[in-house]
Amino acid sequence: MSLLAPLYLLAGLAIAGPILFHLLRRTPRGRRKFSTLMFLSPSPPRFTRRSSIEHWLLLLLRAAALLLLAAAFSRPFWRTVIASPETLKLVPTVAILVDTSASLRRDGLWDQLGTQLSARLKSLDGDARLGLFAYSDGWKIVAGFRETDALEGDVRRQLVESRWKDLHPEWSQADLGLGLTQTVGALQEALASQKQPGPVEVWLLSDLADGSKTEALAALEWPDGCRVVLLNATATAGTNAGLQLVERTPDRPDDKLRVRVSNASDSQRDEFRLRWATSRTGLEPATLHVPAGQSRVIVPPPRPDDASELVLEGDDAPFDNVLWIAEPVRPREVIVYGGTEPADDSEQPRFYLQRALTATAQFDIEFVGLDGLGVDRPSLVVLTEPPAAPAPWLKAWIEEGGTVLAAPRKAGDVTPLLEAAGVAGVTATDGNVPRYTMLADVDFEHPLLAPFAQARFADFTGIHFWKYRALQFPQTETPRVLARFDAGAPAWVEWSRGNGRVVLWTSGWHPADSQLARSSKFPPLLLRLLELTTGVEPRPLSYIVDQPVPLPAIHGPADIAAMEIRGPNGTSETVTPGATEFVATTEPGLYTVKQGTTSWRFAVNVPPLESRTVPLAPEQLETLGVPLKSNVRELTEEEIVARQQLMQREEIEQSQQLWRWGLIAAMVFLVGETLLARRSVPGRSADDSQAGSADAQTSSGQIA
Amino acid sequence: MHSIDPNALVQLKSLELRAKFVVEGFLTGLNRSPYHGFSVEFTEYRQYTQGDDPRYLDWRLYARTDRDYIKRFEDETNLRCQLLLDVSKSMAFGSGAMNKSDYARTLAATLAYFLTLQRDAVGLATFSADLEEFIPTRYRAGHLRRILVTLEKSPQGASTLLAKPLEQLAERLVRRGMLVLISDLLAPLETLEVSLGSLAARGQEVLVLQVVDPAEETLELGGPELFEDLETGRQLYVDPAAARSSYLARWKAHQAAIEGICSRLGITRTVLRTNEPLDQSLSSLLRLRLQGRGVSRARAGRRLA
Repeated sequence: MSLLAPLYLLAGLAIAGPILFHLLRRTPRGRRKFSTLMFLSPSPPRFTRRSSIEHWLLLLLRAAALLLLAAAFSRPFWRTVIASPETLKLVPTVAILVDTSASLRRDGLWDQLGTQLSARLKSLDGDARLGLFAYSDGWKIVAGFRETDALEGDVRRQLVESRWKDLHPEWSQADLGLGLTQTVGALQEALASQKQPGPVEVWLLSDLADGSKTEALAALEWPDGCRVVLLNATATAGTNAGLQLVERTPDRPDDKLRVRVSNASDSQRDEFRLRWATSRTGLEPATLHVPAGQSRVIVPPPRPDDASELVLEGDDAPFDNVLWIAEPVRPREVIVYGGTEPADDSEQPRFYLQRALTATAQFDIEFVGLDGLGVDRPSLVVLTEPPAAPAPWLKAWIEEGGTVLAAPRKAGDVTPLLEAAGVAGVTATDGNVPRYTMLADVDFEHPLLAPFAQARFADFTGIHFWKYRALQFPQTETPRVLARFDAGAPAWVEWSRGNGRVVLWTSGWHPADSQLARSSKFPPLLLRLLELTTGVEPRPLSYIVDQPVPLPAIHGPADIAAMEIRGPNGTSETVTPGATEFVATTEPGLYTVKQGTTSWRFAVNVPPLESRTVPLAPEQLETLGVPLKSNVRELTEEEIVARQQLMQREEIEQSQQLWRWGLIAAMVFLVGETLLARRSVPGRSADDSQAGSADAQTSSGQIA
Repeated sequence: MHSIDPNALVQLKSLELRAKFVVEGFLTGLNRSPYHGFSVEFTEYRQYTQGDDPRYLDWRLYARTDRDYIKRFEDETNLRCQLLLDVSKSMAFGSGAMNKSDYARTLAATLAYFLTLQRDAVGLATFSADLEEFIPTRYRAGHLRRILVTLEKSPQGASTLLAKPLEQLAERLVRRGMLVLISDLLAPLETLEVSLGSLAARGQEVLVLQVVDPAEETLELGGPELFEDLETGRQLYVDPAAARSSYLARWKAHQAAIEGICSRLGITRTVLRTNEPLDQSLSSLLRLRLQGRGVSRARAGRRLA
């Protein structure tokens, strides 16, 4: 028999404990209640040489249980005939981790990596286990250990080489920490199933650019004996400068397009030029000086109308020299107003409507009358009185997705006005308002009112309404009530018609009806209505590669079908059903989103950190805990043999598992010891009962 | 004077019987003693305050010292005696026939009975960690019965804390009188001096009757055993033979501390052992108290002179 963990046998010395306890003299036989222990100190039991062991069987059981426990933890096993360690072969396990970040697009770097990898693979043991992984902003298995382990040595190597050829640099940011962490995880999984020990290596193919993320390395625990072999590519050209967009602040009136030019610390030149890529001629590029290791923020030359690429010239690595700019598109929104009052009458609704819906950073707004609509398609129709002449296009336009805001000024106008918009059967009378009424029940789940759901915006009670029209709905159709007055009468009502909607406000916003026009909620309400109708919402226009882009609300397959996202290379990207964001921003350039009749563009650029291309020094990697091969001691032959023997023993022990039987036997002994102890020490309970009877006698002996 | 053995006294279950038994023996001995009880000697001076009847001014003292004092005559009023009995669990200990609680309750019953016989007002308060029962000092029919019923209860309180109950009692004792504290005083003494001093300063004449079991004084308890604290339940393995010397040193230090506190405050303190006859204990207590009053009078005289 042999032992796997012989030191645990030392725990067998614990049998001295039971022997000592059995030899204890003057152990407490009883318990005395005393008035106070405040003057007493504990006096420990004493040993005596003359004491004899009273319960031999108990002692033997306790000692046997302890010995069995010690033996079980030392993991015994019977030796069996196995192959001699000397005849076993050391099979290396190699995880190849390839950096595919944007900085590898520099001239010649990728080829350098390929050459080094081929040379290294040729010198590798034919039976070596191989895994190929790639990382940039994420990590992926190119050829996993499970896949390659199933192949013979040469085929395995050919598979890795062919998969390597399919790899190419991407445009993403490098996350070295993530790449190494995930690779080590895959390596540990592979080593768990390995039956023979051997060298473990990670071949890191990278340019080790300074901009790589390394945070995850801090928590990485490397497998015992694992070494990292650097196969790094170094740029032959000496200067790299990068171009990044400085975040814009559209809210500020002095907002200008500004860019940052950063020059790598090992650059050999400091003079660069900045120009717009355009078909126009005669534009002079801006010249700027940026010392090595510094960066400058400058305002680029005025952008020509047809230009969306800003180009930096003068360095040797062009991969990060183009900055794509998407300027916001301000669509012209045509609002049809169906009222006949003059625009400058402050007692009428139109006066307030035109001042609330003015041109913004999102829209350029134009008001026209019902009869003044030319070829333009309206964005919103506002009706305050029934159209004098029928507008045959109106119903069809609503069905296609148009929105009508109806705010009749008289109860008698409600029915004809709604009928013009395609809602029949609704009648109205003047509502009874003693002094004023307020909005009491607002449906914040409706997209029109959802932006007001936060507590600080949700109070509509400050708006007083003097008049409203009480509605009677036909039994055939019940509209959605968006808000009610405090007496319960509907204030805002919505009918759906095809893809469009008719919204009726039973009280107007002009002074004769209410204070609504003077409320701070009035302009956002109207703008929200316009956003819902046009689908144009404020959103950022600049992203970096792999950054998700939030999409407009997608309500169903029809929306997905109506949405088209065209990438910079001209191909259309698909949107996953249910997606709220677009994630396929895999390369820099301008992306165009078309949704129905609207379209907008956003720009995707190279991650700014990728411009930091100065290579990390090996010392920096070591401080991050990366075990570089040069600093890891090679195992000696004896150590490898010893490790092999240990692994063999563990394998035999795993198959026999004698320790389980040891534990079971120890438990049996302990149960027996417990039963025996209860039987052989009955004195205490007897003493207690005697004491109790003595007390009882004393009590009964008292003279009443 | 024949003494009543506690071994015989403990056979009497009724506290009232015990009290009568003791008092009769005590009075038998008292007939031959020159002392006439507590209240006969009770007298006091206090500073004149506005509203007092000027007829009771001590004009002789005023003529001598130019200070105005009201003199309360010896027979002006009877004694008001408040008994304060420790009912903490440590009082349940007893190595002999009578445990400390039995002894203390008998002592309190005896005093109450004796004072009632003398037409003095008597009250009873019990305490452990807090003041528990409180019967104010009165002299009226049925009052002694109420006190005896309260005394019949066995000790149920938790640990002994002296400061808090004494403070609580001080708030309730609005009239001057005598306070008899019956306790084993097995408690931390840090604040005892302040509490007793506060009571004395309020005009209470304080007597401390410390009830002690002989085994507590000697730790003659046989072989090693697991000792359990009656108050806290804490357990300790103790070999009395090994622990005796350090125990006795701490015990004596504790007693000396109590004695020092009482001495500094001019409080009469007597140690009553549960194996000693109660009537003898009371006689020696009376003797000591009168000696103490002599000292107090001498001090008072010096102050007044």
